[in-house]
Amino acid sequence: MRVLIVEDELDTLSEIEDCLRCYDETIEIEPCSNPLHAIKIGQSRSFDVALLDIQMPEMTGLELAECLSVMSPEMDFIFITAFNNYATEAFDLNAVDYILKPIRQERFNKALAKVRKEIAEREKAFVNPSGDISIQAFGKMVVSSGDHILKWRRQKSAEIFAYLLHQQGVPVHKEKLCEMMWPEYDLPRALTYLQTIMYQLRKNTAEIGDNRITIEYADHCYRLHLTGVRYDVDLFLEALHQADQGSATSLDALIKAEQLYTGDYFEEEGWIWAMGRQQNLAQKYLKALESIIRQEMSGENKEDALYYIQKWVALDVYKNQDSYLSWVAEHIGADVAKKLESLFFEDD
Amino acid sequence: MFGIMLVDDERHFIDELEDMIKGELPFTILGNCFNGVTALNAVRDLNPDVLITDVLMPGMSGLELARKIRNIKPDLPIILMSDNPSYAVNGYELGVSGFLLKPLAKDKVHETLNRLLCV
Repeated sequence: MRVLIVEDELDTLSEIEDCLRCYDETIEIEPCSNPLHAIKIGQSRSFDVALLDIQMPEMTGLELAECLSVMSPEMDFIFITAFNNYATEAFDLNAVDYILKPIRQERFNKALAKVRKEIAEREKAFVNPSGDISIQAFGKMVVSSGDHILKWRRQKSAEIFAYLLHQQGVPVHKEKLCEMMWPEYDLPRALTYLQTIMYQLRKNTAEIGDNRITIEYADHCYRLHLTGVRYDVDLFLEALHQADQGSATSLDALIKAEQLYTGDYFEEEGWIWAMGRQQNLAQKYLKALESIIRQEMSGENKEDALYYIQKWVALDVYKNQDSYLSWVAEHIGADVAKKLESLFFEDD
Repeated sequence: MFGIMLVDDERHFIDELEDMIKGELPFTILGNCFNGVTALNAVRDLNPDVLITDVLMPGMSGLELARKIRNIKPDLPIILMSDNPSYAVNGYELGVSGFLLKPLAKDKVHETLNRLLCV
């Protein structure tokens, strides 16, 4: 744990340091007696928690907390003061605790334990900020950072996130979002809901970390911004584009695209606004699959095509299994068709 | 929707809170109590996600209620409200999640409740 202490009275400053060491010897401590100096320190280093006196000559601890939280929004605050009349302000600043002087070690430990718990919760949610952040839209929407999968607090947050994603970086007017999400509500009410959800959503995406997924708001419009995020739909389209270039690796690119397509676009959620693109992407997938099959069949080992033919048949676009089988028998061989047929029966 | 319980011996504060919450925040009002003792029982029965309580009430105070709730539901977020800001310190002692100063301001109520949704 990294702790910043800001207290203008030197005796108290060292007293707080002692309390911290008594709580846990391994804590990294940065003592500071001047709030203006503390801002400078805060600009260059980050801390888990700041222990702040309130009444100080240069600026109050409350003002200092506001400055510090702008610089590092994740930082926790504990106020340590002889006055009990700032506690409402402390609540407004979302301070973790408010300790009255004279400091009692037991009370102090309780406050630090609270911070430790908050840090543990943050870390649980924020496993791997520099790890692979990926968004999956094929099949079911999954947003993940390393092994951590983002849990949506509510279905609506997931849908709004997905809708912004669907817009591919184009800003969406807040009233449009309200109409889409809550057609049954009047606008003022829907806007309040939207605000609540956006607040949650921002927290949600902050969990993922590193500002790589951000929701921007300007001119009454929301816009989703992704930086260095692995998004399966983009990768799928990229691979198809690569395959279209007709190079020697185009089969590899098609196979890569095929692997990325783990289900229809938002298949599980079934959002109505996604249907158009869902069909469009499914068409592209079908074309890719057929192209793979054709290319595999023209190669040496025609049986490689079997796996893709199975998938192709499972799509059931042509509705009739016999017509697939005779097609396979004619183009690849009767033995492959037989194999395929036995696979069908196993599936049934 | 999240379940919320409101506790205040003065009915008009409960009405005010209801008006501020209903239809505007994703909370359902599970029940209102006018004293600490009924509130304590209702917490067991209704199992709310949040509880907002006045501090000064005849019989059991909001602080005592918060302390007793800690024994049965240590993680239930509690929000204190009072016209006396000095109770906010007691709030920190009891580990409550928020403090609303009376007269109630709608934006503060919304901000405090919204914050809880994200924790």
